[in-house]
Order: sequence, then C-alpha cells, then structure tokens
Amino acid sequence: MAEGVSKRWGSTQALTSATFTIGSGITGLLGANGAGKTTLLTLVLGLHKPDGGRMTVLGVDPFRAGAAMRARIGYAPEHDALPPDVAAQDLVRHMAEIHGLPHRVATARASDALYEVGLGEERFRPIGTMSTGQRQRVKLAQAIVHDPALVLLDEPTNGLDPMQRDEMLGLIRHVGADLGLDVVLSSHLLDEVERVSDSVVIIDAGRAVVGGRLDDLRRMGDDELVVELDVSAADAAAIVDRLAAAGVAAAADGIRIVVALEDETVYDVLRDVLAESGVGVRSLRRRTRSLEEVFLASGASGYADALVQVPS
Amino acid sequence: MSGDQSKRSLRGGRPLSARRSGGPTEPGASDGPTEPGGSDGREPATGGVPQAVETGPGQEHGHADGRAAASVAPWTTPAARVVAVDVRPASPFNARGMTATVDGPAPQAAEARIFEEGYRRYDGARKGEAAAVRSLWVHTIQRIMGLRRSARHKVLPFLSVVIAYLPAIAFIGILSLLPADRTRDFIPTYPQYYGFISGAILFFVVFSAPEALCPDRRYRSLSLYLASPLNRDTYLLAKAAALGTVLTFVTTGPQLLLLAGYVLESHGPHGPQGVLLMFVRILGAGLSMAAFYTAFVLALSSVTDRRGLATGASLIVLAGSQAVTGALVFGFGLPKALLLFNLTLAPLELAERILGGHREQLALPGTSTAVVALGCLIWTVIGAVAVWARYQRLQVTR
Repeated sequence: MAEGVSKRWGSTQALTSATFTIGSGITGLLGANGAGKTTLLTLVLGLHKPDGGRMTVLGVDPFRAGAAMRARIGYAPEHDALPPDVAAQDLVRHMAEIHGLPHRVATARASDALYEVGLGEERFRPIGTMSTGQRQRVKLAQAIVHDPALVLLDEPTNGLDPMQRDEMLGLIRHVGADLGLDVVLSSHLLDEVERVSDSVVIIDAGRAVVGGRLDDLRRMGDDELVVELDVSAADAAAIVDRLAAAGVAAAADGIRIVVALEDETVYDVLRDVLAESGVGVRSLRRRTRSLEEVFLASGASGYADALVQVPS
Repeated sequence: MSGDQSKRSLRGGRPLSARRSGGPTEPGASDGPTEPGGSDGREPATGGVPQAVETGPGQEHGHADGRAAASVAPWTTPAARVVAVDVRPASPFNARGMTATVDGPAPQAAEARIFEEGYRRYDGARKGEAAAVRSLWVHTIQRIMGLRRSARHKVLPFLSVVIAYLPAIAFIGILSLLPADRTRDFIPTYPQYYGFISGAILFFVVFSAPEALCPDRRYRSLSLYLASPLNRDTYLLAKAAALGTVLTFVTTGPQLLLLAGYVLESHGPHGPQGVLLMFVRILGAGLSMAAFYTAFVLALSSVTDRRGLATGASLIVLAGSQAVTGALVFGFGLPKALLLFNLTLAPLELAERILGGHREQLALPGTSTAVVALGCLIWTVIGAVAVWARYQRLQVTR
C-alpha cells in the first residue's frame, strides 16, 4: 500500500483524534477490547463518517469514495460472518464477484484463494460442517480472493486453539510476506502482533498512542538476558546474589532472573554460576522490549496525541 | 504447510497427482504420452492429472472433479498447489494400457516437473456496483430456491412451484383431451386461476421468501456485503430484485403457461391483439402481486433474523389481517372496503381486476379498481419504507 491512512477526529466516541499512518507490509492494530480497533476498521471501510478529522485510504476519502475503494479492500470481520449451508467455494466466488471480478476469474481465484489458506481439499464442503479454524480460513480466503490492495483482518485468531492460532498467524504472514498483500491485522493479543507484524499501531482508548516498525520499537530497551530457572523463587534470589558476587548485575523476578548483558563475558559467568549451583535452566533469551512495555512506556510519557509516522 | 514441502514430496517419488485450479479445464493440452525431453508436454494450469493416471492416447483427460483429486491425494499439503505436472519419459503405464489409480505405485523412471502457479495478482478490469448487485441477485435467487445447497433446502420452494404450475398443466391437458363443450364449465378463467395458485403463492411467501433477508443478518454476512462495493441501498435493491424475480416466476409463470395452452387449444383470447392484451394483463397482475409480497416479506424479515420467526410472523399477520377484517366487515357490518386491510385478499383482488375478472366474482364489488390499486400500492410502499428504514439504522459492526 503506497498510500497511508491518516485520520484525526475530535469526538468523544470510540476514537478520539487518532492520528497515524499505515504503511506497507503487515501492520498490527493493537489495543484492548473496546479500544476502538473495529471502529477504526469500519471507518477505513467507509461504513461510517468520521465525526471529525480527515482520513485517506488508498488515496481517497473512504466515506466519499465508497464502492470503488471498497472493491479494492478485503475485509474479514471479527465475528462469524459465513452462512453455514453454503459451500466455501461458492461463498468465496460470490464475494469475488461482488468485488467486481468476472465470473470465470472469480471461480478460478476462489479455488486459488482456498488452496492458499489450506482448504483446497475442503472447498466444496458447506461452511457449517467446518471447524472454527477452517471457518476462519474461509474468512481469510474471501478477504484475499479479489487481490485487494489492502486486507483488513479483525481479530482473525478469535476462538482458535493455540495450534490453530499458530497456523492462522502463519497464514497471515504468508499472505503478507509471500503473496505481497498489505494487511492490517487487529488484535488484542500482544504476542500475535509481535509475531506477524512488520509495523504496529497501538490504540488505547480511542487514541493511537504508538506506531512504527516493530524492529524500531523493540530495539529501544537495554540489553538484558532473561533466564528462567528450574528452581524456587528463593533459590533464584540466591543465584542473583552469587551473580552479584561474581560482578554481574542481576535481579530476580520469581523464578526468572534478569541479567544485565554488559559484554560477552557475562555469558561465561552465568554459565559457571549456574553450573556450580546445579540449577536447571528452562530458558535463556535475550530480552527485547515487549510491545506491552512499549505500550506502557509511551502511554505513561504522554504520547497520547503523538503524530506517529510509519515509514512505508 | 509450504509449497516446498509439497514439491519435495513429489520429487521423492510419491504417487503423482495434481490438483486442478477449479477454473475452466482445458483438456487435451498434453494428449498421449509426453515426448521425452519435450517441454511442450506440460499440462496447462488446470490439467489436474498427470500422465501416470492416464490409460493411454485417446483417453480423455478426466478427473476434472477437484474432490476426486482430493480424495486420492491426501498427502498433498494444503497451502501449496501443484497445478501442472510434466512426466518426462513415457510412463510404462501408458505402454501397458493400465489404469493406474493415483495411490498405486509411483511411475518408474518418470521425472516429474512441477509448475506451481497458485495465487496470482489480478490486473484485469473490475466491474462496478451493477455487477455486485447482479451477483447478489443471482446468489439470493439460488438461496431462496435452495440451489447449490442440500436437497432439504429445495423441498419447500420447489413444492410451491409445483403447486403453482401443476394445475395449469392439468387444465391444459384436460383441454386437449376432452371436447370443448364438456370442459367449458370447469376450466378456470385467468382470474379464477389465481384462486388455485394463491395458496402456492402464500406458501412460498411464508416458508421460502424469508430466506432472502434473514440469514444474512443471522449469520452476519451482511458485514461482508457492506464491506464490498455494495451499500445498504444497493444491497436491499438486489435482495428485493431477487425476491421479486422468484415471486414473479410463481405469480406470472403459471398464467403464461395457461395462456400458451389456452391459445393453442383455441380456448383463450382470440386474435393477436387479444393474446397481447392478456399477456400484458398477466404480467401486470403477476408483477403487482410480486411487488406487494416482496415488500411484505422484506418488511417482516427485517424484524427478525430468524427465518422461522419470520415465517411465523408472516402467518400471524396474514391470517390475523384476514380474521380481523373478516370479523369487522361480516360480523359488525362495517364497510367492505375494510377488506383492503386483509393482506391476502388485497393483492388478489387487484390481480383479478387487472386480469379482467367479472364483477360478480370480486370480493369488493362496490370498491373501484383505483381504490384497490391505491390500497395495494400503499401497502407495498409501507413495506418498502419499513425495510429501508430498518436497514438504514441497522448496526452491522459491533
């Protein structure tokens, strides 16, 4: 998507003068339930007129452009939206036609899209006989079938078990990275957005508080190691003391310890201390700032109305 | 999950198969055994089945059914689509004329080349709103009639159609078999025929027609439509058009059949002018009735998103209006014009008048046709405005 969305409207409703730009790639729209994500997506679709501010989607005002713009947008709503007694292939083809594709092209592309989301073998089954995970995939397929310039996915992992969620996130990544479609993915789950998105816009209480490429946002933290130990919290504290004695600053957080990574020798010290203690290590990872921390940090520092630019 | 996986497993000598894209098949692009080393033997993107499963030259490229291919290729990974397979040296199967099933042994000494196409960009023209309306119109007609769905969805709508058309066929049959003097008394006139089929029309209105509007709200597909080039108005337009089309098929079709039969048996209107006039009258009567009930059904379907409740509501309103007006007119002796509030009688009365029903056969002999027409028009407009107003305020997201 070469064009960005910029919007600012001063109402006291779901969105309060939210200003941001969405670039190309996969953008995560992150916020708690009720933060205004769905409202924002309906505004992008031009279904409602913003009370104030200005908005541009694909180079046009969505509310005014209406049909022509919506033909180039794919949308998968948060809720179930599929009739159960229609075959997936029929529905996806129908949605392709609705978006302006000729009948034959729509038929072929419906199959393609359903293969792409992993439902090639199942595409003639009525949607009602499908599992929740499969239905979410059909929703994804109908959103990408007409080769949209922008795909809006509202909470696409809703109701999925962890494994299905993994697969769905993999598919979204596939759609964004391999098929090259620009995707906006709304979610209230930080780790989802962290996993699949290139960029993120954080919505809090109707305001866009943070936005930017994920890599840039996460790199802001100091270098630290997080080590999860197979011990009690008290023993973890003891390990911290031993680390401190060895000259490495560390802090205990339950059974996890956070070690300041000043240089490479810290690894050796840590290894020796742990080996001497005979403590099992569950995980060891470099700490990056999580989105939650990004979120909290920016919310606390009064970035509420910050103009956030996402490089496209 | 990945395309690479699929390719690897194919190259690994597993049974060959390919899935078709679902598009129009182009059979015959690689007839017979492929020439070794030839690069022209590739099947087009849609050729679903590799050489290995063919019985030899002349065997038609079959297996066009995606489900058939799917059932024999359980190992194919879903995300990757293998759309073309090129088997290099002629497969021994061909020479032996053997019908190999795909889950049989792999073709020996065959070098498979996979061409993957899959999801592509679309640069072609996109049609506008009119095409979207047309697609929804077709889709809704299919929905109402239960087409492209399981058999139980077809029972009620097709029952209505059969009830509407069967008497016409029967009467035409009788007319052609019996001499004219014996049939004159019981062969119905055009307005009388509505008496035979009004039941079928109401049956259809009550049981099948709510299918047009209710499921989209119940299953919340409406949000998909409103996120498309359609908007609330064009969406309703397509729905009304679809319902009107199917209703017209029930209200007008049997009469037209009757007209054709009567004319052929020299029973009906005589002369080209008479036939044309009756044709126009039939259209007028059928369309007015279809419009009336389209508005009626849409209005009631906009109240509830459960099809069953809409059916119940239709029954109650239709029967209730009949009972109440009947009691008022015949019980309390109020003016007969009140029968225009009888929602089963009003459109029928108008249709019979348009068809030139005799005065003594009408339910409201004392009321002028203009008043009847106006009454029907008002009901139609009320229904249309009700559904329109409901959909303007309908909250679709959240």
